[in-house]
Amino acid sequence: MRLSLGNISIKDVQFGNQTEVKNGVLYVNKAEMIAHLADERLASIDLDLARPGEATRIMPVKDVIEPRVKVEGQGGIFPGFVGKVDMVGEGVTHVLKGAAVITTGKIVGFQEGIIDMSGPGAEYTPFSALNNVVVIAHPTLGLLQHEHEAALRIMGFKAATYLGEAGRSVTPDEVITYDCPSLPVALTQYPELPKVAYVYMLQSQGLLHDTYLYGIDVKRILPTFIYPTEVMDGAIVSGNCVSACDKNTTYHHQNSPVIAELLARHGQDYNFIGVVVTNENVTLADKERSSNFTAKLIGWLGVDAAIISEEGFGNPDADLMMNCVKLERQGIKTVLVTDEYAGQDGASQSLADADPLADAVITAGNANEVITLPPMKKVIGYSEVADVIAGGWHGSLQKDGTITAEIQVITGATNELGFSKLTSKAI
Amino acid sequence: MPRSIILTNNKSIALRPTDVLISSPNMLAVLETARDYVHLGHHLLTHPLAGSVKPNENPCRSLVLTCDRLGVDPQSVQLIEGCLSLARRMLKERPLSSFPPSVLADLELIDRSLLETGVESLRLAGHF
Repeated sequence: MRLSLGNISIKDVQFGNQTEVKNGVLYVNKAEMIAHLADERLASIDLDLARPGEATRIMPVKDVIEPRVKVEGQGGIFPGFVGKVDMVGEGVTHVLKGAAVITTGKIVGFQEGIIDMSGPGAEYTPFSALNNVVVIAHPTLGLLQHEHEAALRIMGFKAATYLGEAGRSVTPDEVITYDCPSLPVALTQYPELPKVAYVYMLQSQGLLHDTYLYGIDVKRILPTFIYPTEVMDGAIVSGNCVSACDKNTTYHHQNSPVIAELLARHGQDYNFIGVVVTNENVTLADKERSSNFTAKLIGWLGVDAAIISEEGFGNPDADLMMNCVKLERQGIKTVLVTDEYAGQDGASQSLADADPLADAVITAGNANEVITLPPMKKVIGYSEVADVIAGGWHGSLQKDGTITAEIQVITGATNELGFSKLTSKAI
Repeated sequence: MPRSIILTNNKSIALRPTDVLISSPNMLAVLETARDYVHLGHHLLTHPLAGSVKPNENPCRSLVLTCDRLGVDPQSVQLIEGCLSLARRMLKERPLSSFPPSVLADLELIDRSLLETGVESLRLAGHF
């Protein structure tokens, strides 16, 4: 499996007469794009633009998606939703690097996140550095929340696919090629290096807690193998809104830094063998079954070590520990990637579950840390949800637009794939 | 005879006669009741924490235990005591907001959706 990503550098986004990429600027024909997104479940759709450095706040954010287009190879981006259910991950894909679609909508009265394009909040989200096309959609009267969520989710994929098409014939500024050999070849490569696999945990428990793999709800799968390049073509997409700081948006899946780093150092520091996708469940029996299958598949690969990334906090900490313990007991070393809810002073226990075998853990930050976000000149969406958003409280939103809340309100602030700027500091 | 019991304070859930509706707007009451059931020998069938929703973000909570007392289960004891301790700590640090009725209805919906995911799986396994 070989995939070349052709990155087209986008430095600005503007509305124009034609949707196209010209000299690094993404021009968007607003009327044409809105017409392309029409859905009988949505009463109205509007577009706005948010660029780095602007005094703009976007909230509540539902999803962030990177525009891409399949130029060579089978299938299309977002298989199972926009494209057919062809296997993806090989050929050539063009990426509008530096641009994103952000969907916003009030599905329920709480939970979704904030993206500030400037100020202190912008430092906590990678999406403040992008040229964003924001899609604002209002549901038809009486539309049920499940339907509203599905309509918004699919609209985001259609929007990113529509914009991605503008890059089809553009010569990329940079091409990165990833080679993922078949298993027998992979296992014999680099015999002197440790063999490493990746366990990719996905939230999958219900409304606003779901993730999809090739269009299937991940709660309905058993853990399975995927090639690392499949995620780059949108094989995994987000339907998850809980919580803003540590949910994986679709953009995170497309650009998973865990996969990117494993591929970048493959053949130098280790032999990256493959990825096992698994779910996070409601029932204890399902947690046991999925972690048993994950341990079986990773053991089957014969690797020396595995990285395990979590999505979310609390209940999924049990899945994280089960995966860790069952791998460690097979002699497979694990490194866990998670975030913390350690209280506003950072002094409390970080996770809801723990085990002595979980002795190598990377934190993506403490979601309970409090931040004050100054008012912005422009708000796209609904600022009033700040009072009921996860990580906010009554009084979070002040009259002048200032928001004081925990950083869990910020989209991607403590992302558990490590896609953020937070780091530790030496004391 | 049902093989499971739903414990909930979520009034929007359709309960069977043997399920237990806890008349408290506080999710701690649900976890405390579950703790008592666990120490009487009922086993937890669903995780006591809800999805990725923190205890101080949703006053509604629903969970499922075995109907029969099967003997004290160490895993259930560890889970419920750990979650109760976490919930008390988080609620002390940042108490629940007072939600308007429309938001409360949404919070009930999220709790119900997570429960339904569990019930669907438990039904396949013969617990419903």
